[in-house]
Amino acid sequence: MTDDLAALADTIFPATDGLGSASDLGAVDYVRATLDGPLGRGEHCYAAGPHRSPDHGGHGWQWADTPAQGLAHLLTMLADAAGGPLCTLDDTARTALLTDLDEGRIGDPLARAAFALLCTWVLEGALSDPRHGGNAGGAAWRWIGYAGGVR
Amino acid sequence: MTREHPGTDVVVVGCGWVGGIVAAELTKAGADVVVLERGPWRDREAVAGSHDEMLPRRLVHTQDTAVDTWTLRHDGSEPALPIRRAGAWTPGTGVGGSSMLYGGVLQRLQPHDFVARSALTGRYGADAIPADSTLADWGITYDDLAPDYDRFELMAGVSGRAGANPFEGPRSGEYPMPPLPPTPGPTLFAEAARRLGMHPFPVPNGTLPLPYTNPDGVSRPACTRCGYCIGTPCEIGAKADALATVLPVAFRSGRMDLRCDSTVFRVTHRDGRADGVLYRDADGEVHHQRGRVVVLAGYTFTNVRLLLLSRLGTPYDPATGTGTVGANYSYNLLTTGAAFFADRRIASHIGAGGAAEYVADLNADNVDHTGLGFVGGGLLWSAAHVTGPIGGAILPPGTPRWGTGFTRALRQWHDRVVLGVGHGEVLPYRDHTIDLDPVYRDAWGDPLARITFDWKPNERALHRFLGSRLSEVLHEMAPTLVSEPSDLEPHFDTTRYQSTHNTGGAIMGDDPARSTVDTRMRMWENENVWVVGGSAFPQSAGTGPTATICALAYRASDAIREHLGAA
Ligand SMILES: Cc1cc2nc3c(=O)[nH]c(=O)nc-3n(C[C@H](O)[C@H](O)[C@H](O)COP(=O)(O)OP(=O)(O)OC[C@H]3O[C@@H](n4cnc5c(N)ncnc54)[C@H](O)[C@@H]3O)c2cc1C
Repeated sequence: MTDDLAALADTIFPATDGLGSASDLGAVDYVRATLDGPLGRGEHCYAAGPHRSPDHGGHGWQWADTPAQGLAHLLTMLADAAGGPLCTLDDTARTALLTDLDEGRIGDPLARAAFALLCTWVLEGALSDPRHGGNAGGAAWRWIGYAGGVR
Repeated sequence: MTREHPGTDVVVVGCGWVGGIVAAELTKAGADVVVLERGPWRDREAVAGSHDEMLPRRLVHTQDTAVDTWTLRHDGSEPALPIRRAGAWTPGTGVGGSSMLYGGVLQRLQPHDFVARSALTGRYGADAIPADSTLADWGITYDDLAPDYDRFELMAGVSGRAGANPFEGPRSGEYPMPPLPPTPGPTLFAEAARRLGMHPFPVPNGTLPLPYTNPDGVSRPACTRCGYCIGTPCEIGAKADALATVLPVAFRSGRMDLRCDSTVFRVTHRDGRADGVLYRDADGEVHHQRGRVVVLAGYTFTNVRLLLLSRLGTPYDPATGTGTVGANYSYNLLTTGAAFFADRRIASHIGAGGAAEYVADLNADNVDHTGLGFVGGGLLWSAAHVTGPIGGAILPPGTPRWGTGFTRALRQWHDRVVLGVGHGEVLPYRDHTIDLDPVYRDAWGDPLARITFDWKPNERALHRFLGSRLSEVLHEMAPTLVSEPSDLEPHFDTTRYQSTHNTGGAIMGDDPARSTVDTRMRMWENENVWVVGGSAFPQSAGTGPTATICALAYRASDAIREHLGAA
């Protein structure tokens, strides 16, 4: 099933030179599990207010939104900018959209922070131990030539 | 309802390196000790399965910042914001504390570090030290602490080679263990540094190259070089942590009562004497544990926060410079660069946090600082610590963060990178403090610790200096590409890991007006309270803190033993 999240994850981590994309590797399942799990719900994160937006950098995530809410905001914002669901766009259009986000033509700080988080989670889903649900069969480890992976 | 427990000799707050050493030393001396640890119990079986990069990434063994965190402001005029997720530092929780998670590097400070203020003033004049720095001598010298370093190193089986670092202080003899076997990345780094006239050495560390039995009769196996050390408990106890070394001694004595899931929130006291502590168990029930002596061993932040919450000692006031509790908060700075080798594999999945080559030529006051515009120094190093393929995804500058430009780079550079690090000291300043936050509270309603800290000009200059020398070493390795060390960010960043080397706040010294504890870690104002840890450092050093923290724990244990004998 392709939805906006999978489409976005596959743009971040596309099929490359014989390795499958984020969805092929199970990295999208990993991201969904992460979103539904403790991290997405903001566990292990101090949640109490007041929530203030700092006037300079260095303070990390200060939004009242959980990471899952931040990601929902990102998806909505991107779909709005694209004028329709991300999964109906072709690769070129999605790449152009993310380039606009990266270069600040669209989006806001929360969307950009959520995007950075998503990039990290997709990478984790692709390259972490298969026990976490991604990196199916260790395919990505073989592809990059990771010689560790001892359990 | 508060549950009262029968009194004991010594109540210890925290079961990390310091708590473990104090518990072992005092139970050996015949004292009864209650150790209260906020985190869970774990044994070696419980940490099997540690070969997983996601465990440290998910902060599973780290202080739960949902419950208790810190707030930070970059200067005293702005409101502090909570550090919502541990990032720049990641102190441990559970039995063993951060000792389970550290890299294992156990290097002594240099003799200079203990007398930095007087040495710098003598060499360059008082003006060389920034006017707002509260740099202070420790009240003891390297020679005073050397016997305690010896005891700790023998207990932990520290590996190294005496004299390999020409800048190390005098030693009574060889290290208990020889250096770990060399690994490719650090070896390339060391060869390049040597060609540049520097003096690389295998860093002293607590990870065993050979099986070792210490003077307490505790045996540990040799490291298998699996590389899962940093942020991860060692599966076999080859890395010296409290669980593998000192806690078995305390257990064996039958005199230690270790209670986990027990979070201390006050020291109770009257008329200048503590009578115990209040803590909450996992169900939130409040307990009162009385003791003849209270030892705070809960890492820098807990130590200082408990003093402030309990109204022990005199809080520091940066406006007037009076009081001491919360003064001289300090840290380490970090600069990193990388050398990329298109045609060479590094075998970076083999190693240990302590399998590292260090360079001390720029540390402390080893270079003449005349005309440099800053004081202080730092180490350069390269370590064969495995971060796994995610943490090891270090890509050349300009690589896209997504798309095929990203995925191809992952494959192209995997295991072809040698990371170089510069690690420097940070001066203490009048306005760099720990106090109680007026707004944000922990899960039970107590104020969080508030940190006031930012990079200052002296540290920016030192950072640039270390970065430029690091860059020379990286280029000398003749790689395909170098990722240059970057400048410090405009403001200290709470999200980017730099080190769990937080110091100060309850500093030691020989002047009660300027220090919270005496030179044996006892509070000046409370004769039966010891505050032990990095909190006692008057300032950070270029060298990591832990060997010194542990040596101070031995020093404190002797003082407590004498106090109990006399009391
Ligand atoms: C990832 C990592 C890598 C590191 N690498 C190095 C290194 O290579 N070299 C080096 O020199 N140093 C290193 N360090 C630092 C080193 O771990 C610490 O300096 C050392 O463990 C400090 O010992 P401690 O006993 O003071 O604190 P800890 O070992 O942290 O122990 C404190 C204990 O107190 C408990 N506690 C805290 N508050 C309370 C409370 N209110 N009630 C009850 N219990 C409480 C904690 O849960 C913890 O178990 C590293 C740290 C980390 C996290």
